Amino acid sequence: MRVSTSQIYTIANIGMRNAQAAINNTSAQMASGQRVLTPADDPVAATQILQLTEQLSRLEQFNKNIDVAENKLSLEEVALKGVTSLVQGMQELAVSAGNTATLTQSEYKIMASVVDSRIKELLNLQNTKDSSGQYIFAGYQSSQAAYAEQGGGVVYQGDDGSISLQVSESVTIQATDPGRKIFEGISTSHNTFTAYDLVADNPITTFTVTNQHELDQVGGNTLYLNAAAGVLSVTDINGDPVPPVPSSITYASPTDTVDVAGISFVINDGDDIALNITPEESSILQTLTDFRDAMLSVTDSTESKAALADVVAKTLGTLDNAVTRIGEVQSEVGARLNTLDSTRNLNADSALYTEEVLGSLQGLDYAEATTRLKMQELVLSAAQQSFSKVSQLSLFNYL
Amino acid sequence: MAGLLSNAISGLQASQNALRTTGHNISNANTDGYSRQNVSFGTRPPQNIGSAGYIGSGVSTEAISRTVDQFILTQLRLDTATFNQLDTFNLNTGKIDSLLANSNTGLSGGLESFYAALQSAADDPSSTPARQLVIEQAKGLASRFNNLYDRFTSIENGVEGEINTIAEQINGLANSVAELNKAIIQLRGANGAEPNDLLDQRDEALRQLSELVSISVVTQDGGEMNVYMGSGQPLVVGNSAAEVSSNGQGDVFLGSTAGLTNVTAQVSGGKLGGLLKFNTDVLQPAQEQLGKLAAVVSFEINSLQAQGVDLNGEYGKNIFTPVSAGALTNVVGAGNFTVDVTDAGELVASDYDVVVAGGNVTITRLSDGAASALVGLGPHVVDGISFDATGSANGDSFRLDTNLALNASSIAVNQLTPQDLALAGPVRTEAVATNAGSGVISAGNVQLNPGTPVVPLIIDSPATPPATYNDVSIEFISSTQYKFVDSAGNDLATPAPGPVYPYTAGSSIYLEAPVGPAGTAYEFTIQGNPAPGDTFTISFNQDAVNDNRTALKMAALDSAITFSGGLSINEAYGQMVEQIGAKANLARMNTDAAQSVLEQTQSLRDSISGVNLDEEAANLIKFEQVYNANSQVISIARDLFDTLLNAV
Repeated sequence: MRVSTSQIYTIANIGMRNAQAAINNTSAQMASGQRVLTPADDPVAATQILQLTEQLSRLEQFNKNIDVAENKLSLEEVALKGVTSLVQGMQELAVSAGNTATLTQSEYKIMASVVDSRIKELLNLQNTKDSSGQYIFAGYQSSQAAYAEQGGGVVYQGDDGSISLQVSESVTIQATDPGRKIFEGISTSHNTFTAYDLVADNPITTFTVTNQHELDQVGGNTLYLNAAAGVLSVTDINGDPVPPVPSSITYASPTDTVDVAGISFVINDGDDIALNITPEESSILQTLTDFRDAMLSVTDSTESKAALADVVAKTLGTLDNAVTRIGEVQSEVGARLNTLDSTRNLNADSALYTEEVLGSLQGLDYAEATTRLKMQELVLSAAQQSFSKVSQLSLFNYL
Repeated sequence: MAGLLSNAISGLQASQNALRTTGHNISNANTDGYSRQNVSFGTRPPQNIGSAGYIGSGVSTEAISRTVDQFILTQLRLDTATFNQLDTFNLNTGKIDSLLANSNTGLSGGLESFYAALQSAADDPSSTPARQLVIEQAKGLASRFNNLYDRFTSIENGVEGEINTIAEQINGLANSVAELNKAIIQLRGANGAEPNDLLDQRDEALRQLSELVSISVVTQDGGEMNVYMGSGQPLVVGNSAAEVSSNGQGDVFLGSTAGLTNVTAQVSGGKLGGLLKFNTDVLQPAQEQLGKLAAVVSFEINSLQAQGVDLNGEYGKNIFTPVSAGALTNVVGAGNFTVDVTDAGELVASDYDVVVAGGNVTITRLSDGAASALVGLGPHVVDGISFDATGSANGDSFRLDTNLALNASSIAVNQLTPQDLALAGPVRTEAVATNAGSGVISAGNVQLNPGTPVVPLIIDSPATPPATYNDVSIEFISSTQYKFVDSAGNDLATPAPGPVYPYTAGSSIYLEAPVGPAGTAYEFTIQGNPAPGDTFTISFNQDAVNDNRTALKMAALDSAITFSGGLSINEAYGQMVEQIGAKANLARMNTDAAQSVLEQTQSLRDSISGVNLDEEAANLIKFEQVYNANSQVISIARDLFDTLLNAV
């Protein structure tokens, strides 16, 4: 093939230019440690790199969320531990207060003052604040105290809300519990009731308890009362009798007053009533307040002591239920903390895996790159040397 | 003797011509487009010397011709146009490619920081610094969009400026081809010989022209060359050249006496073709995609804000400036017409024509001509935009100019205080303390278009939110049925199937929400066995400083499906990067391939037409020897003459 002089230069130029571009690319890779410098280098890998990097930062955020959740739950755990030991102390005190035969009015006064100071302590625990000054047991409305003085008593003024944090792609963890769920609605040993008019679809508020003992005999149940032709039938939802309540009671129409399970009310023909009998509920705070008040008002009379014995029995029962309730919440909190731990491990695993994939996608194999660079250097210097040799060859040198 | 002398002199002249041509070749060894020339010799007509026949009478210079292969020149022009198109495309695509991939300029960093700020706010919704951070990161995200938009715009302006420059260069080269055509005709007409150097100049001008735009060349009988651009648009005919111009908006025109013709779609190849292709294939889609991303981010975040409750106890305010559906113009009539974005993820980069006729509306998407004939005046939703023609008359027509790309420029963060950020959910549910049954109500959720009948029940009038939002209760009238009761204890009269609803444990109950687009509902579930008379209240979520339900929803947006085609915001951005990366990757490979093809063709051309100095050096010696030999012949002739004179 015929070769023109300009070709000799062009070929050398192309060779050196390509070799230099390759060296430049390799050294840019080595300087950044990245195999993919722009998406054009490997569009598919580039998108994956974007997504994996994003996933890594999400995992990092999830771990932060886990820390936050752990702090919140640990704080709750500490507060609950405090409440448990307080309640247990009160249980011991109630047991000794049950000794009505030997204790005197003045001794009860002293015990009442002990309970009073524990009530204040309990209030503090129930109004625990977190590091940002939020009441942890107040539900959503955490900027106001969970418990506050209202109308002479201390009441719960939060709501049922709780905060959940996302701790992994698929797991959210409840990081707080509303106070109502922990400290309120604790069953006492007594029953209470609600009545509902199934004809008018309205609540009934005229029924009264006349015999608490009788009411306490009926386990949590809904009684369906149906009055027709002077006979009131009392059944459960399936139409079966509910002992010890008699299944039918006769009444003198039209406005006779009857007693069912210790509840007294006026009955009419055609009445269709649902009577919900449930355990009466109280709060820990209320129970202790009642206990304190009972001890403050006790005299050395036998009747007064007997009344106190009733309150002590009720207090013991309720506090027992309270310990169980708090224990349940504590184990929930513990389970959540366990989940946080295992989620953290899972996140760490998945971060490790993601980093591995990311490394294999974008990380530079330095051994390979170094070898490549050496080879490219060789190519460039060969191109330079051959050019300098070839360019010296000219017939004109011999003319 | 005279014959001998004249033969030698013809030899001297011929070798002088050859030496001169060799010198010309040597001196032009580095001239672009120069084709080596060679001299061909022929014998002069012989002389009859009687019965012996004819005797030679020396040499004459027949022709000085250039060594070219027209086929290879055509190939070279083609390859030059291809390479330059790809190279220009590659160069410009690379700019956008590296812009998006860079974590400092791309969007992914901004999105990450924004979502991280939302997560931190969700961790501690009562914290003012955490809320402030969300606002700051939202500003950061908006300015990333703005910066990218500006960079894209400056790339666009650069491309338009370059198109202008190239148009001028094309005009310059086209004029010189026309001039050369004229000169070549004149010179050839004078003596019929080829003006080699002018031909070379014209070929070189054509090669340079094909760097700018793909051309085809037709040689006329007279030797002039007509040049056509793209798919046959005449650029040079004979000795006149048409003028190429651009309007500064990426359109190219070819001017003639008949006026300007838009040839943007026909032009291809060369730098001009590369720029036009970059404009339509990369830049415009990237701008539109970026605009759509901005629209979706701002639309989705604002929608969630509107459904959430802020620290002031109000429904949340827009974080970002609301997404505009575009500019609306009356084409026919002066009717009133409104458009609104209902789903940013469905937006399409196209303008729309809307025609009202016979009480119905026809909406035509101009990008592909797809027409939707819709019954009634609307509002009708097409491509995520709601068109409402209720204020217009028959015969009216409108044009909606969506300008999707502009969203990346117009996205901005409103003036907000940290308290204005809605991180809480709008409703709060509670089971009444005296409930006897085991029923439990869920916290409540906002849902759009649940698809199940929504109980058309309002938490009071939305006229002056939120103070007048009163509680609503669900009261069980038996263990299997419930009704709704207002805060005063009155039954809410509701249309069928109410006022009594059957209870199924765990199935959703929907309440019509007083906020958000039509179809927004509050969703609850009740589980367990409620007893007759059990009541659950649903109330406006006042003072909910420690509620993060809306914050969690916003933070989940990065992976939620918000784009048409089942993509999340991150995936849509990833897809955009991948598409541009793939184009850049392909352009790079094609450029490399085209470059080596061009180099081969150039090499082939050089190998045929290029000057080889060694060859010329050999020729110098050859022709010098011929010259010397002819001189010797003259010397012999002189000797012969001297001998003769001395003999006399």
